[in-house]
Amino acid sequence: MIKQGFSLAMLLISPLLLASQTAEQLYSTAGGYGCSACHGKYANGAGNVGGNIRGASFEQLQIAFEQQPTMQLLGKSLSDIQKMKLIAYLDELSNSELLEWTIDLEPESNELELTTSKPAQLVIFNALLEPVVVDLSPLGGPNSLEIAAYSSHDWQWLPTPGNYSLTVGTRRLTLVVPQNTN
Amino acid sequence: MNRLFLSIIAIFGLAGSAFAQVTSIELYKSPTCGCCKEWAKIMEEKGYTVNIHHQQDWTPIKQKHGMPPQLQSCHSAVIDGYLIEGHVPESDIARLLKERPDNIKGLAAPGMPQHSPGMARPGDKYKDFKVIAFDDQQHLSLYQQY
Ligand code: HEC
Repeated sequence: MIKQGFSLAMLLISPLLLASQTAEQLYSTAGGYGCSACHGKYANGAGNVGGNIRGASFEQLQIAFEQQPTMQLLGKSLSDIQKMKLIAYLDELSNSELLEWTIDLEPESNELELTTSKPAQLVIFNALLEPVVVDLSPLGGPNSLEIAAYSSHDWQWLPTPGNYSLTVGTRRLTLVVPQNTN
Repeated sequence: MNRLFLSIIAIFGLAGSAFAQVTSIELYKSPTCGCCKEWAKIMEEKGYTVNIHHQQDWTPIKQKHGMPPQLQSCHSAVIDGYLIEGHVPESDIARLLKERPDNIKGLAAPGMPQHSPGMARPGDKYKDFKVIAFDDQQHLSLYQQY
């Protein structure tokens, strides 16, 4: 019910959405610091206070703006249209399955298993204080992607069943895409 | 002359703190940021004077001090020529001002760590974040692990 009303509203304002700054820009600059400061660059939380908000509803956002002390002032500075844009962006992100790989001193090897047949978004966080080079060719990506010190980078692809292995120096990530995900 | 004076303070140790100047902080924050104020309050309690400047976007200040963009947090502070980004504990700033290493331009607590000064509940232990130092070549090093 709420969802339907919301979709209608989205339809009505869609020309406005296209007109000004993109939802992604708004997400990363709202208030100057962006939602990303507290919820991570990909709304994945990334160890920050606000946590993962991918797929959050408009209602959840309204409650957060009212009740979270750190979001109250920010909420007052945004229009309803901007809030809808943000929700549309979070919804779009939730259409991909999030996989997170942190490259740090420990551990040397990681394994992640996909649980849906949605498109996948791998977010790689290089927690080391020097750049690393990742070979993403097993996922159809570049074979030497440099990730700066203490930065993250994402890669989106359509998973097909199998095991995929990514390496950074001696560190390894194994991605398992099972046969029958739903 | 100034140096001599400082050395004398150093020699007399404790007595020196009686002469210690009040250090002032230029704090650049967005008007909508509340946790930045909490951090400022902690610094004031520790004896610093905090001058707050309000504006949405402080990228030019961060760039001027050569801050690597991935270290961004919600506010930037300039203390005695050093850039302090985000919720850096006072003890690390005190150490920086005392040791004055040549190869450090500033310190950052990137993002918004839950258990950092201004974010943690008063009295809680600081944990689960890093304070990272950067130099003028944008090289990073670990300054303190919480
Ligand atoms: C200064 C930090 C901060 C900023 C900036 C911030 N948030 Fe939050 N947000 C929080 C905290 C803290 C919570 C509560 C998290 C919890 O309870 O686990 C939260 C909760 C939320 C929730 C509710 C999640 C749920 O599960 O109900 C949504 C949605 C949300 N934020 C969206 C946003 C959006 C969109 C922006 C940018 C306009 C934003 N936030 C900016 C700190 C922040």
